[in-house]
Amino acid sequence: MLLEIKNASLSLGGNPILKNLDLKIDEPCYLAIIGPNGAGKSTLLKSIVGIHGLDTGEVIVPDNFSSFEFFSYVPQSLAVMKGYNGWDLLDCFLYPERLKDKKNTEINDLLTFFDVSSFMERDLTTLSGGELQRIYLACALASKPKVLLLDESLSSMDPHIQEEVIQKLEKVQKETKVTIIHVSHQVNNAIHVSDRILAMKNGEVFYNGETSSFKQSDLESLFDYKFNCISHPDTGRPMIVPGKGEK
Amino acid sequence: MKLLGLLILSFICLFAFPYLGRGDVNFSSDEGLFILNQLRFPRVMMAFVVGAGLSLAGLIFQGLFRNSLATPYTLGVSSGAAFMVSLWIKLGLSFSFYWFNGLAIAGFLGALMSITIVMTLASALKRFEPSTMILAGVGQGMFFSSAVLLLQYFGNVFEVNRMVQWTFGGVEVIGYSSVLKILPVLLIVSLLAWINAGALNVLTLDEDLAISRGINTKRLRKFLFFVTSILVGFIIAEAGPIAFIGLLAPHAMKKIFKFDYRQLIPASLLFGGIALSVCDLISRIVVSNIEIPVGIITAFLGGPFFLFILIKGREES
Repeated sequence: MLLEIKNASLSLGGNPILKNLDLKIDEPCYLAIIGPNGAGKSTLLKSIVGIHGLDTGEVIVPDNFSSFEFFSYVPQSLAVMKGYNGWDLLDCFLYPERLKDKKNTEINDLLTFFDVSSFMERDLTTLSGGELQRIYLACALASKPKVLLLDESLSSMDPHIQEEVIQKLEKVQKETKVTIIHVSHQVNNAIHVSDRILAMKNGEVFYNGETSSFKQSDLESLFDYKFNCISHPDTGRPMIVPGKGEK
Repeated sequence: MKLLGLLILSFICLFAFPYLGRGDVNFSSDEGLFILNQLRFPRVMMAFVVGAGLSLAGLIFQGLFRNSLATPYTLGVSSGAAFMVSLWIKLGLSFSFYWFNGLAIAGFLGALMSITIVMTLASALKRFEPSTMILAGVGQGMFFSSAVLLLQYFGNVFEVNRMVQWTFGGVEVIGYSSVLKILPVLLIVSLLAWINAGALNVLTLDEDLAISRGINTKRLRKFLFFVTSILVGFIIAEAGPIAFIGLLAPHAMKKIFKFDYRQLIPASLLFGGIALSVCDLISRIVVSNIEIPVGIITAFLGGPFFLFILIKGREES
Protein backbone atom coordinates (compact mmCIF):
# COMPACT_ATOMS: atom_id res chain seq x y z
CA MET A 1 0.00 0.00 0.00
CA LEU A 2 1.30 3.44 -0.93
CA LEU A 3 -1.46 5.76 0.12
CA GLU A 4 -4.90 5.15 1.49
CA ILE A 5 -7.68 7.57 2.27
CA LYS A 6 -10.39 5.99 4.36
CA ASN A 7 -13.89 7.33 4.74
CA ALA A 8 -12.80 10.97 4.54
CA SER A 9 -15.38 13.62 5.43
CA LEU A 10 -14.84 17.33 5.84
CA SER A 11 -17.07 20.37 6.19
CA LEU A 12 -15.78 23.89 5.73
CA GLY A 13 -17.86 26.79 7.02
CA GLY A 14 -20.84 24.46 7.50
CA ASN A 15 -20.72 23.18 3.91
CA PRO A 16 -19.93 19.50 3.43
CA ILE A 17 -17.02 19.39 0.97
CA LEU A 18 -15.88 15.77 1.20
CA LYS A 19 -18.38 12.96 1.89
CA ASN A 20 -17.15 9.52 2.94
CA LEU A 21 -14.46 9.47 0.32
CA ASP A 22 -12.22 6.42 -0.16
CA LEU A 23 -9.12 6.14 -2.28
CA LYS A 24 -6.42 3.50 -2.28
CA ILE A 25 -3.22 3.56 -4.27
CA ASP A 26 -1.13 0.38 -4.22
CA GLU A 27 1.31 0.92 -7.05
CA PRO A 28 3.08 4.04 -8.33
CA CYS A 29 0.90 5.61 -11.01
CA TYR A 30 -0.28 8.82 -12.63
CA LEU A 31 -3.66 9.58 -11.09
CA ALA A 32 -5.74 12.41 -12.51
CA ILE A 33 -8.50 13.95 -10.41
CA ILE A 34 -11.24 15.57 -12.47
CA GLY A 35 -14.70 16.88 -11.75
CA PRO A 36 -16.86 20.00 -11.81
CA ASN A 37 -16.01 23.14 -9.81
CA GLY A 38 -16.70 22.74 -6.13
CA ALA A 39 -16.45 18.95 -6.24
CA GLY A 40 -13.79 19.01 -3.50
CA LYS A 41 -10.73 18.20 -5.62
CA SER A 42 -8.41 20.83 -4.15
CA THR A 43 -9.76 20.22 -0.67
CA LEU A 44 -8.91 16.55 -1.02
CA LEU A 45 -5.29 17.41 -1.85
CA LYS A 46 -5.13 19.83 1.08
CA SER A 47 -6.50 17.18 3.41
CA ILE A 48 -3.91 14.68 2.20
CA VAL A 49 -1.01 16.97 3.16
CA GLY A 50 -2.62 18.15 6.40
CA ILE A 51 -3.65 21.71 5.57
CA HIS A 52 -7.25 20.78 6.40
CA GLY A 53 -7.76 18.27 9.17
CA LEU A 54 -10.47 15.74 8.30
CA ASP A 55 -13.66 15.70 10.40
CA THR A 56 -13.77 11.92 10.14
CA GLY A 57 -11.65 9.35 8.37
CA GLU A 58 -7.92 9.18 7.90
CA VAL A 59 -5.03 9.45 5.50
CA ILE A 60 -2.66 6.49 5.79
CA VAL A 61 0.91 6.48 4.52
CA PRO A 62 3.49 3.72 5.06
CA ASP A 63 4.87 3.71 8.61
CA ASN A 64 8.45 4.44 7.79
CA PHE A 65 7.77 7.86 6.23
CA SER A 66 6.99 11.25 7.69
CA SER A 67 4.70 13.45 5.62
CA PHE A 68 7.39 15.84 4.42
CA GLU A 69 9.50 12.98 3.05
CA PHE A 70 6.51 11.34 1.48
CA PHE A 71 4.63 14.21 -0.17
CA SER A 72 5.46 17.23 -2.21
CA TYR A 73 2.55 19.58 -2.77
CA VAL A 74 2.20 22.34 -5.34
CA PRO A 75 -0.75 24.58 -4.36
CA GLN A 76 -3.16 26.02 -6.87
CA SER A 77 -2.26 29.63 -6.15
CA LEU A 78 1.50 29.88 -6.11
CA ALA A 79 2.94 32.19 -3.51
CA VAL A 80 5.52 34.76 -4.52
CA MET A 81 7.38 37.10 -2.21
CA LYS A 82 9.78 39.88 -2.93
CA GLY A 83 13.27 38.74 -2.03
CA TYR A 84 12.69 35.06 -2.83
CA ASN A 85 14.22 33.62 -5.99
CA GLY A 86 14.09 30.11 -7.43
CA TRP A 87 16.88 28.85 -5.19
CA ASP A 88 15.05 30.09 -2.09
CA LEU A 89 11.93 28.31 -3.30
CA LEU A 90 13.99 25.17 -3.79
CA ASP A 91 15.19 25.44 -0.18
CA CYS A 92 11.56 25.78 0.96
CA PHE A 93 10.68 22.55 -0.86
CA LEU A 94 13.74 20.79 0.55
CA TYR A 95 12.91 21.83 4.14
CA PRO A 96 14.00 20.57 6.70
CA GLU A 97 17.07 20.06 4.52
CA ARG A 98 18.55 22.74 2.32
CA LEU A 99 20.64 22.81 -0.82
CA LYS A 100 24.28 23.03 0.23
CA ASP A 101 25.82 23.33 -3.21
CA LYS A 102 24.22 25.08 -6.19
CA LYS A 103 26.35 22.91 -8.47
CA ASN A 104 24.71 19.69 -7.25
CA THR A 105 24.47 17.62 -10.46
CA GLU A 106 21.23 15.84 -9.64
CA ILE A 107 19.40 19.09 -8.86
CA ASN A 108 20.83 20.85 -11.89
CA ASP A 109 19.85 17.99 -14.17
CA LEU A 110 16.31 18.29 -12.86
CA LEU A 111 16.27 22.07 -13.36
CA THR A 112 17.63 21.67 -16.88
CA PHE A 113 15.09 18.95 -17.60
CA PHE A 114 12.27 21.37 -16.81
CA ASP A 115 14.05 24.28 -18.57
CA VAL A 116 14.12 26.51 -15.51
CA SER A 117 17.87 26.86 -14.91
CA SER A 118 17.94 30.24 -16.66
CA PHE A 119 15.49 31.91 -14.26
CA MET A 120 16.48 30.41 -10.94
CA GLU A 121 18.24 33.64 -9.95
CA ARG A 122 15.23 35.82 -10.74
CA ASP A 123 12.93 37.19 -8.06
CA LEU A 124 9.73 35.11 -8.02
CA THR A 125 7.64 38.28 -8.31
CA THR A 126 9.12 38.97 -11.77
CA LEU A 127 8.23 35.59 -13.29
CA SER A 128 5.25 34.97 -15.57
CA GLY A 129 2.52 32.56 -14.48
CA GLY A 130 3.78 29.74 -16.68
CA GLU A 131 7.42 30.20 -15.65
CA LEU A 132 6.41 30.19 -12.02
CA GLN A 133 4.46 26.95 -12.47
CA ARG A 134 7.46 25.29 -14.09
CA ILE A 135 9.81 26.42 -11.33
CA TYR A 136 7.41 25.17 -8.64
CA LEU A 137 7.10 21.84 -10.44
CA ALA A 138 10.86 21.36 -10.67
CA CYS A 139 11.42 22.39 -7.04
CA ALA A 140 8.62 20.11 -5.84
CA LEU A 141 10.30 17.14 -7.50
CA ALA A 142 13.70 18.06 -6.02
CA SER A 143 12.78 16.70 -2.60
CA LYS A 144 12.28 13.26 -4.22
CA PRO A 145 8.77 12.68 -2.92
CA LYS A 146 6.99 9.34 -3.17
CA VAL A 147 3.79 11.20 -4.02
CA LEU A 148 3.66 14.48 -5.94
CA LEU A 149 0.41 16.41 -5.54
CA LEU A 150 -0.34 18.93 -8.29
CA ASP A 151 -3.27 21.35 -8.18
CA GLU A 152 -3.86 22.85 -11.62
CA SER A 153 -0.12 23.12 -11.94
CA LEU A 154 0.05 23.47 -15.73
CA SER A 155 -2.87 25.86 -16.19
CA SER A 156 -0.90 29.00 -17.10
CA MET A 157 1.64 27.43 -19.43
CA ASP A 158 1.75 28.02 -23.19
CA PRO A 159 0.24 25.12 -25.13
CA HIS A 160 3.55 23.84 -26.45
CA ILE A 161 5.18 24.11 -23.00
CA GLN A 162 2.20 22.34 -21.48
CA GLU A 163 2.59 19.54 -24.00
CA GLU A 164 6.30 19.25 -23.20
CA VAL A 165 5.83 19.36 -19.46
CA ILE A 166 3.16 16.66 -19.57
CA GLN A 167 5.50 14.41 -21.53
CA LYS A 168 8.27 15.16 -19.04
CA LEU A 169 6.04 14.41 -16.06
CA GLU A 170 5.05 11.13 -17.68
CA LYS A 171 8.72 10.30 -18.18
CA VAL A 172 9.65 11.24 -14.59
CA GLN A 173 6.77 9.16 -13.30
CA LYS A 174 7.82 6.06 -15.23
CA GLU A 175 11.53 6.44 -14.42
CA THR A 176 11.48 7.42 -10.76
CA LYS A 177 8.29 5.59 -9.78
CA VAL A 178 6.89 8.73 -8.16
CA THR A 179 3.12 8.70 -7.87
CA ILE A 180 1.62 11.82 -9.38
CA ILE A 181 -1.82 12.96 -8.22
CA HIS A 182 -2.87 15.72 -10.55
CA VAL A 183 -6.00 17.81 -10.11
CA SER A 184 -6.84 19.30 -13.47
CA HIS A 185 -9.59 21.03 -15.37
CA GLN A 186 -7.91 20.25 -18.65
CA VAL A 187 -9.86 17.07 -19.10
CA ASN A 188 -8.27 16.05 -22.42
CA ASN A 189 -4.78 16.21 -20.97
CA ALA A 190 -5.89 14.43 -17.82
CA ILE A 191 -7.49 11.58 -19.73
CA HIS A 192 -4.61 11.36 -22.15
CA VAL A 193 -1.75 11.19 -19.64
CA SER A 194 -3.17 9.36 -16.64
CA ASP A 195 -3.12 5.67 -15.70
CA ARG A 196 -6.01 6.11 -13.30
CA ILE A 197 -8.85 8.56 -12.93
CA LEU A 198 -10.61 9.72 -9.82
CA ALA A 199 -13.70 11.64 -10.87
CA MET A 200 -15.34 13.60 -8.06
CA LYS A 201 -18.80 15.10 -7.91
CA ASN A 202 -20.28 16.90 -4.89
CA GLY A 203 -17.58 15.61 -2.56
CA GLU A 204 -18.11 11.98 -3.49
CA VAL A 205 -16.31 9.51 -5.69
CA PHE A 206 -18.03 9.34 -9.05
CA TYR A 207 -15.52 7.16 -10.85
CA ASN A 208 -12.38 5.53 -9.52
CA GLY A 209 -10.46 3.21 -11.82
CA GLU A 210 -8.33 2.66 -14.89
CA THR A 211 -8.37 5.52 -17.35
CA SER A 212 -8.58 3.03 -20.21
CA SER A 213 -12.09 2.06 -19.16
CA PHE A 214 -13.28 5.65 -18.64
CA LYS A 215 -15.95 6.27 -21.30
CA GLN A 216 -17.45 9.31 -22.97
CA SER A 217 -20.69 8.52 -21.16
CA ASP A 218 -18.87 8.70 -17.80
CA LEU A 219 -17.50 12.10 -18.75
CA GLU A 220 -20.94 13.32 -19.80
CA SER A 221 -22.74 12.27 -16.66
CA LEU A 222 -19.85 13.64 -14.53
CA PHE A 223 -20.39 17.13 -15.94
CA ASP A 224 -24.09 16.74 -16.88
CA TYR A 225 -23.26 17.90 -20.38
CA LYS A 226 -23.23 16.32 -23.84
CA PHE A 227 -19.72 16.72 -25.23
CA ASN A 228 -18.70 16.27 -28.82
CA CYS A 229 -15.97 13.66 -28.38
CA ILE A 230 -13.67 11.75 -30.67
CA SER A 231 -11.46 8.80 -29.85
CA HIS A 232 -7.78 9.54 -29.53
CA PRO A 233 -6.13 7.94 -32.58
CA ASP A 234 -3.42 6.20 -30.49
CA THR A 235 -5.19 5.28 -27.27
CA GLY A 236 -8.85 5.29 -28.15
CA ARG A 237 -9.61 7.40 -25.08
CA PRO A 238 -12.39 10.03 -25.38
CA MET A 239 -11.13 13.52 -26.27
CA ILE A 240 -13.41 16.56 -26.18
CA VAL A 241 -13.60 18.50 -29.42
CA PRO A 242 -14.66 22.07 -28.66
CA GLY A 243 -17.65 23.76 -30.20
CA LYS A 244 -20.51 21.25 -30.48
CA GLY A 245 -21.48 20.39 -26.92
CA GLU A 246 -24.93 20.92 -25.48
CA LYS A 247 -26.76 20.53 -22.19
CA MET B 1 30.57 40.20 4.21
CA LYS B 2 27.81 42.69 5.00
CA LEU B 3 27.40 40.96 8.35
CA LEU B 4 31.08 41.49 9.06
CA GLY B 5 30.64 45.19 8.37
CA LEU B 6 27.74 45.33 10.84
CA LEU B 7 29.85 43.47 13.38
CA ILE B 8 32.68 45.98 13.06
CA LEU B 9 30.24 48.89 13.36
CA SER B 10 28.79 47.26 16.47
CA PHE B 11 32.21 47.08 18.09
CA ILE B 12 32.82 50.73 17.26
CA CYS B 13 29.49 51.64 18.91
CA LEU B 14 30.15 49.57 22.01
CA PHE B 15 33.72 50.67 22.60
CA ALA B 16 33.90 54.22 21.21
CA PHE B 17 30.53 55.73 22.14
CA PRO B 18 31.19 55.60 25.90
CA TYR B 19 34.04 58.04 25.37
CA LEU B 20 31.77 60.53 23.63
CA GLY B 21 29.50 62.78 25.58
CA ARG B 22 28.91 66.17 27.07
CA GLY B 23 31.35 67.85 29.39
CA ASP B 24 35.05 67.37 29.84
CA VAL B 25 35.55 64.11 31.59
CA ASN B 26 39.08 63.23 32.53
CA PHE B 27 39.06 59.47 32.02
CA SER B 28 42.26 58.99 34.00
CA SER B 29 40.84 60.38 37.22
CA ASP B 30 38.88 58.21 39.65
CA GLU B 31 35.75 60.23 39.00
CA GLY B 32 36.21 59.88 35.25
CA LEU B 33 36.73 56.14 35.53
CA PHE B 34 33.56 55.84 37.59
CA ILE B 35 31.59 57.75 34.96
CA LEU B 36 33.06 55.59 32.24
CA ASN B 37 32.64 52.20 33.92
CA GLN B 38 29.44 52.66 35.88
CA LEU B 39 27.51 55.08 33.67
CA ARG B 40 28.76 55.37 30.12
CA PHE B 41 29.66 51.76 29.30
CA PRO B 42 26.54 50.29 30.95
CA ARG B 43 24.39 52.84 29.16
CA VAL B 44 25.82 52.14 25.73
CA MET B 45 25.54 48.40 26.33
CA MET B 46 21.98 48.86 27.53
CA ALA B 47 21.11 50.84 24.40
CA PHE B 48 22.68 48.14 22.25
CA VAL B 49 20.96 45.23 23.96
CA VAL B 50 17.57 46.96 24.02
CA GLY B 51 17.88 47.98 20.36
CA ALA B 52 18.95 44.48 19.35
CA GLY B 53 16.09 42.90 21.28
CA LEU B 54 13.38 45.20 19.91
CA SER B 55 14.71 44.73 16.40
CA LEU B 56 14.70 40.94 16.74
CA ALA B 57 11.16 41.05 18.17
CA GLY B 58 10.00 43.18 15.24
CA LEU B 59 11.62 40.81 12.73
CA ILE B 60 10.01 37.74 14.29
CA PHE B 61 6.57 39.35 14.61
CA GLN B 62 6.69 40.55 10.99
CA GLY B 63 7.51 37.02 9.86
CA LEU B 64 4.93 35.29 12.06
CA PHE B 65 2.13 37.63 11.07
CA ARG B 66 3.34 37.97 7.48
CA ASN B 67 2.74 41.68 7.90
CA SER B 68 5.40 44.32 7.74
CA LEU B 69 3.56 46.47 10.29
CA ALA B 70 3.73 43.90 13.08
CA THR B 71 5.86 45.19 15.95
CA PRO B 72 5.62 45.02 19.76
CA TYR B 73 3.81 48.37 19.56
CA THR B 74 1.27 47.66 16.84
CA LEU B 75 0.40 44.42 18.63
CA GLY B 76 -0.50 46.43 21.72
CA VAL B 77 2.13 44.89 23.97
CA SER B 78 3.66 48.20 25.00
CA SER B 79 0.29 49.83 25.64
CA GLY B 80 -0.59 47.00 28.00
CA ALA B 81 2.71 47.53 29.79
CA ALA B 82 2.13 51.29 30.00
CA PHE B 83 -1.30 50.68 31.46
CA MET B 84 0.00 48.42 34.22
CA VAL B 85 2.83 50.82 35.03
CA SER B 86 0.40 53.76 35.25
CA LEU B 87 -1.94 51.71 37.42
CA TRP B 88 0.99 50.78 39.63
CA ILE B 89 1.94 54.43 40.06
CA LYS B 90 -1.65 55.54 40.62
CA LEU B 91 -2.21 52.91 43.30
CA GLY B 92 1.03 53.99 44.93
CA LEU B 93 2.30 50.46 45.12
CA SER B 94 5.86 49.79 46.03
CA PHE B 95 7.04 46.27 45.93
CA SER B 96 10.05 44.46 44.67
CA PHE B 97 10.82 40.89 43.83
CA TYR B 98 14.44 39.80 44.16
CA TRP B 99 16.34 42.30 42.04
CA PHE B 100 13.39 43.49 39.98
CA ASN B 101 11.80 46.76 41.08
CA GLY B 102 8.08 47.39 41.17
CA LEU B 103 7.76 49.39 37.97
CA ALA B 104 9.69 46.78 36.02
CA ILE B 105 7.41 44.04 37.34
CA ALA B 106 4.33 46.09 36.45
CA GLY B 107 5.65 46.64 32.94
CA PHE B 108 6.43 42.96 32.54
CA LEU B 109 3.00 41.91 33.80
CA GLY B 110 1.33 44.43 31.50
CA ALA B 111 3.19 43.07 28.52
CA LEU B 112 2.22 39.51 29.48
CA MET B 113 -1.39 40.58 29.91
CA SER B 114 -1.52 41.94 26.36
CA ILE B 115 0.11 38.79 25.03
CA THR B 116 -2.42 36.63 26.83
CA ILE B 117 -5.27 38.59 25.28
CA VAL B 118 -3.83 38.23 21.77
CA MET B 119 -3.03 34.54 22.32
CA THR B 120 -6.51 33.82 23.65
CA LEU B 121 -8.00 35.47 20.59
CA ALA B 122 -5.65 33.42 18.46
CA SER B 123 -6.77 30.12 19.90
CA ALA B 124 -10.43 31.14 19.85
CA LEU B 125 -10.20 31.50 16.09
CA LYS B 126 -9.93 28.19 14.30
CA ARG B 127 -7.30 29.38 11.90
CA PHE B 128 -4.65 31.92 12.90
CA GLU B 129 -5.44 34.86 10.64
CA PRO B 130 -2.48 37.24 10.68
CA SER B 131 -4.46 40.33 9.71
CA THR B 132 -7.09 39.70 12.39
CA MET B 133 -4.37 39.44 15.00
CA ILE B 134 -2.88 42.77 13.96
CA LEU B 135 -6.31 44.41 14.18
CA ALA B 136 -6.85 42.81 17.58
CA GLY B 137 -3.49 44.19 18.67
CA VAL B 138 -4.32 47.67 17.44
CA GLY B 139 -7.72 47.48 19.14
CA GLN B 140 -6.40 46.48 22.52
CA GLY B 141 -3.58 49.02 22.16
CA MET B 142 -6.14 51.80 21.78
CA PHE B 143 -8.12 50.51 24.71
CA PHE B 144 -5.12 50.51 27.02
CA SER B 145 -3.91 53.89 25.76
CA SER B 146 -7.20 55.48 26.73
CA ALA B 147 -7.10 53.64 30.05
CA VAL B 148 -3.71 55.26 30.62
CA LEU B 149 -5.16 58.69 29.80
CA LEU B 150 -7.97 58.04 32.27
CA LEU B 151 -5.47 57.19 35.00
CA GLN B 152 -3.50 60.31 34.17
CA TYR B 153 -6.65 62.42 34.35
CA PHE B 154 -7.29 61.19 37.89
CA GLY B 155 -3.65 61.34 38.92
CA ASN B 156 -1.95 64.15 40.79
CA VAL B 157 0.97 66.13 39.37
CA PHE B 158 3.63 63.79 40.72
CA GLU B 159 1.89 60.65 39.59
CA VAL B 160 1.28 62.01 36.11
CA ASN B 161 4.86 63.12 35.91
CA ARG B 162 6.09 59.62 36.73
CA MET B 163 3.68 58.03 34.26
CA VAL B 164 4.77 60.35 31.47
CA GLN B 165 8.43 59.95 32.35
CA TRP B 166 8.06 56.20 32.02
CA THR B 167 6.44 56.41 28.60
CA PHE B 168 9.42 58.41 27.26
CA GLY B 169 11.52 55.28 27.44
CA GLY B 170 15.18 55.48 28.24
CA VAL B 171 18.37 53.57 28.65
CA GLU B 172 19.92 55.61 31.47
CA VAL B 173 21.21 52.98 33.86
CA ILE B 174 23.73 52.78 36.65
CA GLY B 175 25.84 49.66 36.65
CA TYR B 176 25.23 46.51 34.65
CA SER B 177 22.26 44.97 36.43
CA SER B 178 19.68 45.95 33.76
CA VAL B 179 21.90 44.73 30.94
CA LEU B 180 22.44 41.45 32.77
CA LYS B 181 18.70 40.94 33.17
CA ILE B 182 17.95 41.40 29.46
CA LEU B 183 21.02 39.80 27.90
CA PRO B 184 20.34 36.13 28.80
CA VAL B 185 16.74 36.37 27.55
CA LEU B 186 17.95 38.04 24.37
CA LEU B 187 20.51 35.31 23.74
CA ILE B 188 18.01 32.49 24.36
CA VAL B 189 15.33 34.02 22.13
CA SER B 190 17.90 34.72 19.40
CA LEU B 191 18.98 31.09 19.54
CA LEU B 192 15.40 29.81 19.41
CA ALA B 193 14.66 32.06 16.44
CA TRP B 194 17.87 30.92 14.74
CA ILE B 195 16.95 27.25 15.17
CA ASN B 196 13.61 27.95 13.49
CA ALA B 197 15.07 30.17 10.76
CA GLY B 198 14.52 27.60 8.00
CA ALA B 199 10.91 27.07 9.01
CA LEU B 200 10.35 30.84 9.18
CA ASN B 201 11.63 31.14 5.61
CA VAL B 202 8.99 28.68 4.39
CA LEU B 203 6.23 30.13 6.58
CA THR B 204 6.90 33.66 5.33
CA LEU B 205 6.51 32.52 1.72
CA ASP B 206 3.36 30.44 2.17
CA GLU B 207 1.58 28.85 5.09
CA ASP B 208 0.13 25.95 3.05
CA LEU B 209 3.53 25.13 1.66
CA ALA B 210 4.94 25.19 5.19
CA ILE B 211 2.29 22.75 6.42
CA SER B 212 2.96 20.44 3.48
CA ARG B 213 6.62 20.40 4.47
CA GLY B 214 5.67 19.06 7.88
CA ILE B 215 5.88 22.34 9.82
CA ASN B 216 3.31 22.69 12.58
CA THR B 217 2.68 26.33 11.74
CA LYS B 218 0.16 26.94 14.50
CA ARG B 219 2.51 25.66 17.18
CA LEU B 220 5.51 27.45 15.71
CA ARG B 221 3.61 30.76 15.66
CA LYS B 222 2.41 30.41 19.24
CA PHE B 223 5.79 29.33 20.53
CA LEU B 224 7.79 32.08 18.86
CA PHE B 225 5.16 34.68 19.68
CA PHE B 226 5.30 33.68 23.32
CA VAL B 227 9.08 33.66 23.77
CA THR B 228 9.47 36.88 21.80
CA SER B 229 6.84 38.57 23.93
CA ILE B 230 8.71 37.52 27.08
CA LEU B 231 11.76 39.26 25.63
CA VAL B 232 9.69 42.37 24.88
CA GLY B 233 8.31 42.22 28.43
CA PHE B 234 11.82 42.21 29.87
CA ILE B 235 12.90 45.10 27.65
CA ILE B 236 9.84 47.24 28.39
CA ALA B 237 10.24 46.52 32.08
CA GLU B 238 13.78 47.88 32.09
CA ALA B 239 13.72 50.55 29.38
CA GLY B 240 10.10 51.58 28.97
CA PRO B 241 8.44 51.74 25.57
CA ILE B 242 10.94 52.72 22.88
CA ALA B 243 9.13 53.11 19.61
CA PHE B 244 10.06 52.38 16.03
CA ILE B 245 13.29 50.39 16.42
CA GLY B 246 11.29 47.20 16.00
CA LEU B 247 9.80 48.49 12.77
CA LEU B 248 12.74 50.36 11.36
CA ALA B 249 15.69 48.02 11.87
CA PRO B 250 14.23 44.81 10.37
CA HIS B 251 12.89 46.78 7.39
CA ALA B 252 16.26 48.30 6.68
CA MET B 253 17.88 44.87 6.87
CA LYS B 254 15.33 43.34 4.51
CA LYS B 255 16.36 45.95 1.93
CA ILE B 256 20.06 45.16 2.34
CA PHE B 257 20.10 41.41 2.90
CA LYS B 258 18.34 38.72 0.92
CA PHE B 259 15.24 37.24 2.47
CA ASP B 260 16.75 34.52 4.59
CA TYR B 261 16.19 34.46 8.32
CA ARG B 262 19.59 32.84 8.81
CA GLN B 263 21.03 36.18 7.75
CA LEU B 264 18.22 38.49 8.81
CA ILE B 265 18.31 37.40 12.45
CA PRO B 266 21.96 38.30 13.14
CA ALA B 267 21.74 41.35 10.88
CA SER B 268 18.64 42.73 12.63
CA LEU B 269 20.17 42.10 16.05
CA LEU B 270 23.32 44.03 15.17
CA PHE B 271 21.61 46.82 13.26
CA GLY B 272 18.99 47.32 15.97
CA GLY B 273 21.80 47.61 18.50
CA ILE B 274 23.71 50.07 16.35
CA ALA B 275 20.61 52.15 15.61
CA LEU B 276 19.59 52.56 19.23
CA SER B 277 23.19 53.26 20.30
CA VAL B 278 23.38 56.03 17.71
CA CYS B 279 19.99 57.43 18.80
CA ASP B 280 21.20 57.34 22.38
CA LEU B 281 24.42 59.12 21.44
CA ILE B 282 22.36 61.80 19.69
CA SER B 283 20.11 62.12 22.72
CA ARG B 284 23.15 62.63 24.93
CA ILE B 285 25.05 65.18 22.86
CA VAL B 286 22.76 67.02 20.48
CA VAL B 287 21.30 69.54 22.91
CA SER B 288 23.78 70.94 25.39
CA ASN B 289 22.94 70.53 29.07
CA ILE B 290 19.79 68.48 28.49
CA GLU B 291 19.48 64.81 27.75
CA ILE B 292 16.54 64.10 25.51
CA PRO B 293 14.96 60.71 26.29
CA VAL B 294 16.03 58.26 23.62
CA GLY B 295 12.42 57.15 23.04
CA ILE B 296 11.69 60.61 21.66
CA ILE B 297 14.72 60.49 19.35
CA THR B 298 13.76 57.10 17.90
CA ALA B 299 10.19 58.18 17.24
CA PHE B 300 11.41 61.46 15.78
CA LEU B 301 13.80 59.76 13.36
CA GLY B 302 11.67 56.65 12.93
CA GLY B 303 8.53 58.50 11.80
CA PRO B 304 10.01 59.98 8.61
CA PHE B 305 11.91 56.74 7.91
CA PHE B 306 8.66 54.82 8.20
CA LEU B 307 6.95 57.10 5.70
CA PHE B 308 9.94 56.70 3.41
CA ILE B 309 9.51 52.91 3.51
CA LEU B 310 5.81 53.24 2.75
CA ILE B 311 6.40 55.38 -0.33
CA LYS B 312 9.34 53.28 -1.52
CA GLY B 313 7.39 50.08 -1.03
CA ARG B 314 4.53 51.47 -3.09
CA GLU B 315 6.90 52.34 -5.94
CA GLU B 316 8.41 48.88 -6.06
CA SER B 317 5.25 46.84 -5.99
